[in-house]
Amino acid sequence: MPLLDIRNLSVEYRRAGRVIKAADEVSFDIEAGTVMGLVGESGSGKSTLALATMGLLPRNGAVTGGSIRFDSTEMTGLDEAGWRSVRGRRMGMVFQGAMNSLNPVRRVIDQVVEPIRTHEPGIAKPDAMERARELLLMVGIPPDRHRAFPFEYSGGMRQRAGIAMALSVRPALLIADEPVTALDVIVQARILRLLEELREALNLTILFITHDLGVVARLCDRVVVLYAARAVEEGTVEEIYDQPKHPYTRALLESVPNFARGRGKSHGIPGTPPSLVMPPAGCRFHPRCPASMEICSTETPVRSRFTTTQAAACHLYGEEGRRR
Amino acid sequence: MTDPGSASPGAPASSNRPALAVLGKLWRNVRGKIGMILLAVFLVYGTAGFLAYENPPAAGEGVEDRFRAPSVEQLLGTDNLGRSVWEQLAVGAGISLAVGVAATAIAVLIGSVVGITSGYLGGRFDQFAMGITDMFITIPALPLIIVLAAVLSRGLPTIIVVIGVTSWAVPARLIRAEVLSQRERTFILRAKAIGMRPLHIMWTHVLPNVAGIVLANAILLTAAAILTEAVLAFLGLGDPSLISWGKMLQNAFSSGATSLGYWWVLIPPGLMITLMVLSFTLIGNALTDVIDPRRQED
Repeated sequence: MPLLDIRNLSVEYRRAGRVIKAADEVSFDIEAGTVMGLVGESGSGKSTLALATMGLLPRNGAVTGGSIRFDSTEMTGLDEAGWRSVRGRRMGMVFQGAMNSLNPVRRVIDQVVEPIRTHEPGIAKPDAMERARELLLMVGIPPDRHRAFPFEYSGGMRQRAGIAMALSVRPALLIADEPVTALDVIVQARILRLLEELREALNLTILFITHDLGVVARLCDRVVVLYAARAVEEGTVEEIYDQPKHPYTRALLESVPNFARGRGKSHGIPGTPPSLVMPPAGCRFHPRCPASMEICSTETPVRSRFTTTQAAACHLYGEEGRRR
Repeated sequence: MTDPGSASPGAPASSNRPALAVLGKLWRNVRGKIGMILLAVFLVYGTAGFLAYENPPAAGEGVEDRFRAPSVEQLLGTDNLGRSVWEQLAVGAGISLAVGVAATAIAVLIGSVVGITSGYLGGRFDQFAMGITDMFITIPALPLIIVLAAVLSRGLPTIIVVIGVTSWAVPARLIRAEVLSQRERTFILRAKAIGMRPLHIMWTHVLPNVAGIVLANAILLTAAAILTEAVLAFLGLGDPSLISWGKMLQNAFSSGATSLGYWWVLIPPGLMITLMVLSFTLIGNALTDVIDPRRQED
């Protein structure tokens, strides 16, 4: 029984009379204790999926179809009070560690205390503070920095504090939306190591959203590749890296500079991601696809299964995943 | 880098006392410094006047006490009833400060509640609240104040409430605009993701981030409230039993001091009103500069 099971989820935004479909029949599930990577370019719908899972879509966005089952409970159609009891307590979220991720006018420890006091209203303040101190120590922030303001923190420390906050009431699922994106490579590695340690120690389930395939390889067990609001391929990390099936996944992997392979040259993908207001008919990748066929521009490909874990939506393959 | 006192070199030295840091910056600003000195003088003068003299000051004994020119024993002379102008000025300072601060407190309270809830919640509530706010902005304030002051019982509390209730709309708009930009910041989303309630988010995350603007605006509002109180008193709508600077001006006109050339009855209250309004305006503008980092010269 997966901890999070997303089936045929569609999310739409309305803006100035136009409808933007930011998630189109996306399906994936995460087993408890595993790390799922959600990969895609900007605007592919990664963050939308994260926000929909937390019930935090902006006012002009709504789930228009499909289901989100978390811990065997259907989440779509939940009211605000229902969502509030889940947010923070059962699902935590880590954001990009930019300057704005913490309230600039409040001390870090006061912000780490917040989720504890929100979900355990009866707790005495000194006890909550003690818990917050332990959490900050757990993520590696020394005691003398606990009472500092966020502007006195480096990017890495802000991200550590953000992780402490997200984990303060021990949620079962951690959604990390581009948690290492704004950080330099060394700090990235440290934050990833911290997440790995925490995952081990707390038996966390993580939905890890990123555009960085290197980060995915390091941390994740399984991967879902998104393109223009659709899931185009999913599989274990090994399958995705060693035997990518979808031409987009292949192109994505080839666009990562690989110093072992050549002289650090990378191949970009020609063209730009399509508009989600008027996406191309058929397979959305066909205008940029090197293997594009006639059928690709007319019919939406169905998912082909290759193994129990790997599947891709591409006309190159038949239902059973054999090459046509 | 482990010593908390010298943690980050770019941080202000008094980062643990944000309020003190702002006061220090205000003192280093020329306008802020002049305004603060003026205000301090008024505070001492008003407090001393409140403690030392009665309001209204006692009338003179006989005809010879009326309209006495300034002299050594009567520093600023007397008015048509033989009351000391100096004493009147002193008690008037207290009235002006009290009305200014109390009316502003009411206006800022209403303005903050309306502005923050409206900006944060958005949607229909925002439209409704801003409709009412715009109504209050559009209605000419002074006629409304005059009508209210004339209809309600005459007294200082009425004046305070009337000024407060008619001046919250502009701050409400300003605060809402700031909340709209704060609302989109990640830490608000994070607070939601933690499961915090909207009221709690508004109180702990939105309010502290708009507090600077609220404060700078409150000080400018105080200046306006003091001026409005003087206008009301001058028009005879103030508390009839109390002396305030506006009331002194009214006395000067109704007793004919203006046409008789008794300048000492006329000029001191006018000058006092101007200086007090100036002090608040200077501090308010300096504070806006100090709080908004984009407006700082260095």
